[in-house]
Amino acid sequence: MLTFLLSAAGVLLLTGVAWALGFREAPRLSQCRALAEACQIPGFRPIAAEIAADGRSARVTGAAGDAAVILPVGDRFIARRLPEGAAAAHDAIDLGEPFLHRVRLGP
Amino acid sequence: MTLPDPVQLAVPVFVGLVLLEMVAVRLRRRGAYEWHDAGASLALGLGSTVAGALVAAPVAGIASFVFQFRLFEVPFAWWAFLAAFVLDDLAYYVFHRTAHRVRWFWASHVVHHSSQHYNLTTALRQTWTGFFSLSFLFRLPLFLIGFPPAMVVFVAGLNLVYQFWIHTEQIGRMPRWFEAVMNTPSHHRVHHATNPCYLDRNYAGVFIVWDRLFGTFAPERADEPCRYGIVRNLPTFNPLWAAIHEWVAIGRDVLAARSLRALAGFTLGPPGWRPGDRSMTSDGIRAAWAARAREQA
Repeated sequence: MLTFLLSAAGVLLLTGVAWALGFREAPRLSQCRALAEACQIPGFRPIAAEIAADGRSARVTGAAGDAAVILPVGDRFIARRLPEGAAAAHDAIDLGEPFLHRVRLGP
Repeated sequence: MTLPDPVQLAVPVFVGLVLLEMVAVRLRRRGAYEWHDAGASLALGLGSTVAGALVAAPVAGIASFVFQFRLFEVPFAWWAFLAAFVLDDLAYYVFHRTAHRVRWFWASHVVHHSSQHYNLTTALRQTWTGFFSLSFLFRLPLFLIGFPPAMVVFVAGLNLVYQFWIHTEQIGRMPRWFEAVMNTPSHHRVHHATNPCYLDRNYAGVFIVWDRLFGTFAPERADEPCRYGIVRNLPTFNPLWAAIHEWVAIGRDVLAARSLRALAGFTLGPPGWRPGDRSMTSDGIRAAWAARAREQA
């Protein structure tokens, strides 16, 4: 138990050091970055990106008339294909997976 | 014979090197950390030691049971440790390759790849469900040969300790002879990358020669910077979700399966397998990438 508590304290300490050293950036998306992120979705060919005003999320249109969203996760982003008939960019979108049931793109 | 636990002995060194790497990232502007990500990786590492302690007794029982049927009497001699280390690394290669090619094993191993960062904390991002996935099966042949369980546990610990330092972007390339034989940061960056040309390559633990021998080696390319993570990156830093998300996905797919073939495909097929659709498997992704490259040429 003591070993576990010491290890847990170590985890908190190292995480705190990471925070204190400033590893908490929140980069903004550019058109280029949003398209590059969308390229990571297998089979998706992005042609245009609409970046949210806060620069932290984007809606990307695909060549096949499909669409994807780019969402922030810490200092990185994730890309998800939008389900067919998904709501407009400023409505909450259900991407059908835990933690992504009510996704709202930035203003 | 009682042998020390190399991993336990190495923990203070791990902590020191993580701190050193964080400072190096800050000063050199090379590599990256994110505090949520580092916290999640470290929490997963802590959880994996708890999970390991919980299943230590049954694993030891299985090892002792199999050891009864050993083919040879292997003594505690230096050459036996050396042979055990090399053969254990081969067993690790087989396990690791299977863990990337069979979804059942991937469900446990995916946690190690679920960070979009590549730093020393990523090395500590370890599974909580290794016993459940039966990953210990891959080391059983060593007991059957006759290597004592204590020796195998010891060399497996050394193998794990070796793999710690290769999870970094702070080291470019090692000397050519070293890169030829040993697993290195450069080789292992390729393994953690999701670029189609790097997918499912460089499974080695310690000796990269296994990948060279079995045709799974890919060198790191200057014109293709590594993108780390998994094909479908996680939307959260929650360690519990990182540990179980693929098991949940398997459960969903199995419940939705409409045939035995689908059931087998969803559990024993490659990650991303769908009935009649291989576009989300690593082979499919690689094929699509190659076709697109040909199109553009």
